[in-house]
Amino acid sequence: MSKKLWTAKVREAWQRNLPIEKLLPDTQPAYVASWIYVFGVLTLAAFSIILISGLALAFAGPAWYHTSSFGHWVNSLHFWSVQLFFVFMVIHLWGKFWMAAWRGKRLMTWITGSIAFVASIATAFTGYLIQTNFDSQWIAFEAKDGFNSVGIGAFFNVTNLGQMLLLHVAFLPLILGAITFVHVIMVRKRGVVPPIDADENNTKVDSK
Amino acid sequence: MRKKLNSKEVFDTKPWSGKLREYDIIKEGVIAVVVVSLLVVSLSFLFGSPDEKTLTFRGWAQSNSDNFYATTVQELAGTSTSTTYGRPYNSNGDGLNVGPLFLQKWAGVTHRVTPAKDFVIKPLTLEVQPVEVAAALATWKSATSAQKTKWASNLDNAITKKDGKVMAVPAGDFGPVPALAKGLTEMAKSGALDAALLSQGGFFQTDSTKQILFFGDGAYLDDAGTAANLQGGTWGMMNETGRYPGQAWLWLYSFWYQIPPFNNSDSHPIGANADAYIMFIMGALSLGLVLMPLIPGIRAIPVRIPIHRAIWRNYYANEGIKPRKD
Amino acid sequence: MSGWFSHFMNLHAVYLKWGWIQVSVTNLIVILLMFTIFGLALFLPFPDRRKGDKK
Repeated sequence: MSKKLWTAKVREAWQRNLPIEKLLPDTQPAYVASWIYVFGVLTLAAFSIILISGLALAFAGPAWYHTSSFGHWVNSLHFWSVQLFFVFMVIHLWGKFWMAAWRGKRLMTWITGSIAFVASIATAFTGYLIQTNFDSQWIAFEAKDGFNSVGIGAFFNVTNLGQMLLLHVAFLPLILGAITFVHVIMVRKRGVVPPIDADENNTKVDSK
Repeated sequence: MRKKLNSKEVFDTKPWSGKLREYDIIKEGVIAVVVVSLLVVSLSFLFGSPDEKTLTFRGWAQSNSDNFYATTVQELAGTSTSTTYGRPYNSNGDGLNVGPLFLQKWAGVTHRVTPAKDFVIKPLTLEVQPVEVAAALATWKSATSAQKTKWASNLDNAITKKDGKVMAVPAGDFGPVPALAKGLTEMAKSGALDAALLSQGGFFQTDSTKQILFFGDGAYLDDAGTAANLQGGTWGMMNETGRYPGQAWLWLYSFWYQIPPFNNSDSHPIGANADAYIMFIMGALSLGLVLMPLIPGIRAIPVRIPIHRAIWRNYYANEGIKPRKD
Repeated sequence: MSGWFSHFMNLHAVYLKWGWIQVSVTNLIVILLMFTIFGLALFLPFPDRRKGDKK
């Protein structure tokens, strides 16, 4: 009977594909033993600080940090968490490339991750435009030509402060957050990619 | 060979059935947030963040009034960069193209900017002007557009002939243009132009397009960009004001602007359209990054160059897996 | 709170040039730091805890 209910179908598909043990694991394959594996979660941690400091900046309004020293400090938190975010994310990307981490039906994990990288660059770019300082004047003036040259500038006007402010605060973090969410779910669903050259013959031997 | 590869693929897909190690995902997440928070707080206390004050029209007119005056004349003559820009601001140029693709032109005019009116005449009209400026405005408004262009072009050429030195220009058939340019320069010097351009006669304003375009027509913004090492031709896209780290992640985008044919002058067909070409290249490369696992050759690099031997060295050692020879 | 070294950070940046390659010292530090961290992440020993092993 319950098979006909949409809710039941979704629940069953969820339990089949992503049981709670996969979502919140307490074990990993033994080969997951390298510092390179921490850069994904470090990127997420930096992203969370970006969101919190950005929220604080949004609450106080875009001009706040020019006049308040506390505001300037919050702006500094935002600035440095973005710098670290990119450092961690790029190292994560390098690591996953050298592991060929797309093997074994993990293509979507790679695709969502690399889209998140491109989306992060777009999000950071709009952030630079809404600093309302000399830097944003310069970047708006320079960047408009690139976007205009391929027709994007007709609807994505980098010299329009209001448009950039809203996209940076309301739209792009949502998109980036959603892509990141799917990426993390894909990682949990597929698991961590096995070592290159590993196969059935050497998964169970305990050599210790 | 093919068969073996397939079984390996199948193996990679299956849930891991080998040895496990303890893993506390929540604890890992909490530690990561704590560590990164400490790092961010330390960096912010140590270095702060960049916030160089905006340039203003007041600053421009006060520090280089000749250049401001000459730019105003160019706006009236229709020779400034923004007047001849084309889409999305006006139809006075085709914009950039990549071969037969005129994407800039096809996108149409979506943010109309009429520099003579928006940058000069309207701001002047928004304020009570001295008698001679008010008279010049009246003369300008009642003149034909051919006459307007003639007056302003005459003065534009005369200033160019004197290397931008306004005071050195002898009298000529300039009509009301000198009074208008003088009037706007004075208005800018007082700071009133900043307010007039911002409000455009309205109350709320969130669009800074006109100010940015007007700024870009003169030398003030450009000089400031050069002084701060922000020019695109010298990797400026990656740089930040002061000594702060910039956008290192834009290195590849910035790279193309440094090499031929993209760094050629505007008389070169690709140099002139570098912005469009580089946009396409970066679009293609971004797509390449996203679809990298599907690209033969590139996807084999991490298998061929054994950096993975370092990452999984314990596993390989424990299982006795030798580096591959092929 | 503008940072203890913010005066230093707002001085004019130092740029290194090799022909047409140009990079600010700060960006170079960031880039080298990324390579260093990547290298350390590959080669530093990772604490090994097997399931079932007593700490």
